Amino acid sequence: MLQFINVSKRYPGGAEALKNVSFEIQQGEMAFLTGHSGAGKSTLLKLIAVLERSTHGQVMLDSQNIGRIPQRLVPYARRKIGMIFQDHRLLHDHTVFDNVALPLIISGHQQHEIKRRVRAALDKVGLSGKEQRYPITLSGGEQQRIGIARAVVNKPPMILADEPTGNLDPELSAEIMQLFEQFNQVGVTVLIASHDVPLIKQMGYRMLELSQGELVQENG
Amino acid sequence: MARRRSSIQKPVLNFSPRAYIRIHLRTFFSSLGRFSRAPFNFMMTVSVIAITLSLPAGLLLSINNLQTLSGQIDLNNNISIFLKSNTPLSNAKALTTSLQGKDSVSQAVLIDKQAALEEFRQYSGFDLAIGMLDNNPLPHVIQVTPHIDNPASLESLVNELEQHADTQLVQMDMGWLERLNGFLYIAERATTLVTILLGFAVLLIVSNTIRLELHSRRDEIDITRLVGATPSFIMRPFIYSGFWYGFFGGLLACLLVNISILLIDSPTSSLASLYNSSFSLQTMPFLHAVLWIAFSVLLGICGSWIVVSRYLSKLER
Repeated sequence: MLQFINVSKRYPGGAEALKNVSFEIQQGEMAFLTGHSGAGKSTLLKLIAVLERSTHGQVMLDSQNIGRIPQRLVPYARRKIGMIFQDHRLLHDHTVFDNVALPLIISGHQQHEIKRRVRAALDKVGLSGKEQRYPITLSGGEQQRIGIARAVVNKPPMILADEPTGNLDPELSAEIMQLFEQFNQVGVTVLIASHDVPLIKQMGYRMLELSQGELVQENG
Repeated sequence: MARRRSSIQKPVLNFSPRAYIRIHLRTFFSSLGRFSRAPFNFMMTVSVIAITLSLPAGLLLSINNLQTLSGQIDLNNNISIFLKSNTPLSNAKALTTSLQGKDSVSQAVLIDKQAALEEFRQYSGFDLAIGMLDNNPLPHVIQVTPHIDNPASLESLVNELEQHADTQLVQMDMGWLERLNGFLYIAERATTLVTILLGFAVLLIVSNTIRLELHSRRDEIDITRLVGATPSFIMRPFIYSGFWYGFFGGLLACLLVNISILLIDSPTSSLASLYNSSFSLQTMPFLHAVLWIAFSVLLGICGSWIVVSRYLSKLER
């Protein structure tokens, strides 16, 4: 599903964020990406979302080198990935429903189809009945669930999460992780960047550890 | 190794025109909805555009009105045709009759040279001097009152009269009409320049408004990009904003101009009645209003397109 082949990323100015990183994540796999702040986790995720392009090496998604696709195809590449962020990145002047519906509106789905899918996604993350609320009126854990619902509403084959439990207490974190496990169980490939090592270890999935831009440990 | 066909493609095959129209309609109305949430800001921009455009639109309408005025007042002044001195009276009479039969002539009166001499003798006091002349030095004159509503056909009537074999000279007092038309021509040019300049102003007004809107919706743009929005999807609401600014700005400009015309019409009419004229100001013709609104819409769309495409190309670099 996802394959990094000798990927390096150097930012203008000389900072090398990733050094010769290679790994592969199979279709339907669930894996964690760990490491200290500044180890290159965010850069790695940005390469998958084509927010940045690698300086060397290939980033293969579905057997295609997405690091080299033309700019006009980048939006379509992003639609294959559901992304979740630590700061949720929600539209605060839109309702929960509109937030979750955004990917479907972008791809031009019909209204009744949008309604059906948004309800299903909100139901899955346990937010049914809150469609018309505004994100700001919900708790941090619930806001993160909105972000997750938005990421899965388009049924992407892969979910990327960047510190999804960063601001949550352990109990809520565990619930969010269970949610990811549920999606993984229905065949979605999941890659989660997190530094909450105790929680990850307890879950027992494969772990990729980055340190100063290098992949130092792979276990699982 | 055979080159693998790209799995990431623009979804051309399942592209449906209905989905496309759906996206457009949604953006069309949601951009209106956004204005309804901040009506004051919207009306401020619209008013600035309207006032800016009402100046050239008002100028052009004034010129149109003056042109009709110059047509009404001057064109039907008398024309004098001086015939050649050797023209026999019968020819002069025949020409007068043929002129009387023309559609473009309401009246043609022949003053034959004998009658003219008598008249001259009576009123000039040169009685004695005239008596000493061997022959009559005056030509036959035909006075023509045209029946014409535009300067071009007057021009062609005068040309036709000049071409006639017996004509020596065609005279009419077109001096001040020509001066007025010359002035109107300059005013028209000046209005074109003002229209271009103020058109730029509208372009900049819309650009600046959209730029502010882009800034306040930065997060929204980032987020929609992250979930796979194409640049055109992101641009669309702003282009529609530009459209609405232009549309309402143009509409309001036309309203302002017509209201002004109505306000000054009654003093103008009473002034005209002092000159025995039934002249009254014309409001903007429907077609002109449509053209002004279209012009304004075009400026709105261009103004927002310039800003948004620049902004997005910076983001995607």
